[in-house]
Amino acid sequence: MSNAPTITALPDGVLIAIAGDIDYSCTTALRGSIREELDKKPQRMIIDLQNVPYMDSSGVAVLVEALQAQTKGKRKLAVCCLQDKVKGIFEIARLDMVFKIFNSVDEAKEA
Amino acid sequence: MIFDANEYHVQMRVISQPQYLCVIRSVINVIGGKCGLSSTETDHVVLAVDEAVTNVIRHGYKDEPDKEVDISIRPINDKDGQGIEIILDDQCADIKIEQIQKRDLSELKPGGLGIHILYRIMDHVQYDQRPDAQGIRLTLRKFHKQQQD
Repeated sequence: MSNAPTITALPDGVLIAIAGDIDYSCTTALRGSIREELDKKPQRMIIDLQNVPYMDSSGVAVLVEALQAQTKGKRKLAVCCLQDKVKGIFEIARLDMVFKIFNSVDEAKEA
Repeated sequence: MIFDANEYHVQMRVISQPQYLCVIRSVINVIGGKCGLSSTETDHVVLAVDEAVTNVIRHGYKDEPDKEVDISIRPINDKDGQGIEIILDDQCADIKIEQIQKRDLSELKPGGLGIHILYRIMDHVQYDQRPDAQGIRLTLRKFHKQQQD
């Protein structure tokens, strides 16, 4: 089960670092945390998954909702630092071409 | 439980609470290798079973926390190869098998990925009405493929 995400303000947005497995047991809380940041309409939202060893489709759904909200407002969303198992579900769900995925937080900040 | 314990090596009855998904994942993660699957294949089966149980809890039981999911696991070694068979029995009253469908992935939507993932990952996915009780039985099979070693 993931812990509460760590929120860090960026000059042009917000960095959200998540830790722990993301499954249906924690997606309601995670969705709430991310929506709270989406409501502030950040120009750039970066979701850091380096400490997420596992994610199922309920976690992916939360990220898709965030992407849709940011895209609708013509704002940016990037995810970064995916571990292999998490990268795997993005590929299986064919979302690896939909999200902007970066290898590091710095790369995501510069994109 | 309905199966012969000699046939099914591991049987679990799990309450319909998502906090126990991690327990199910841990069990599958250990058994996958014992059934001859590679670590990547085992990871995929872990995800598939997680998705299947989540679907039962979320859609079948509508998040009611006091229902049961029975999970039976055995190694298989037959004409199709070596691998794992997992059977999930639920007690969902309101779900018809015809309602369980994977969705088209061309449209970007947050939900409905679970069934798609099952079919992408597993070599065999079969839904049946339970022969012995109310509910649905899902049979999942995954075979080891040499090239993934």
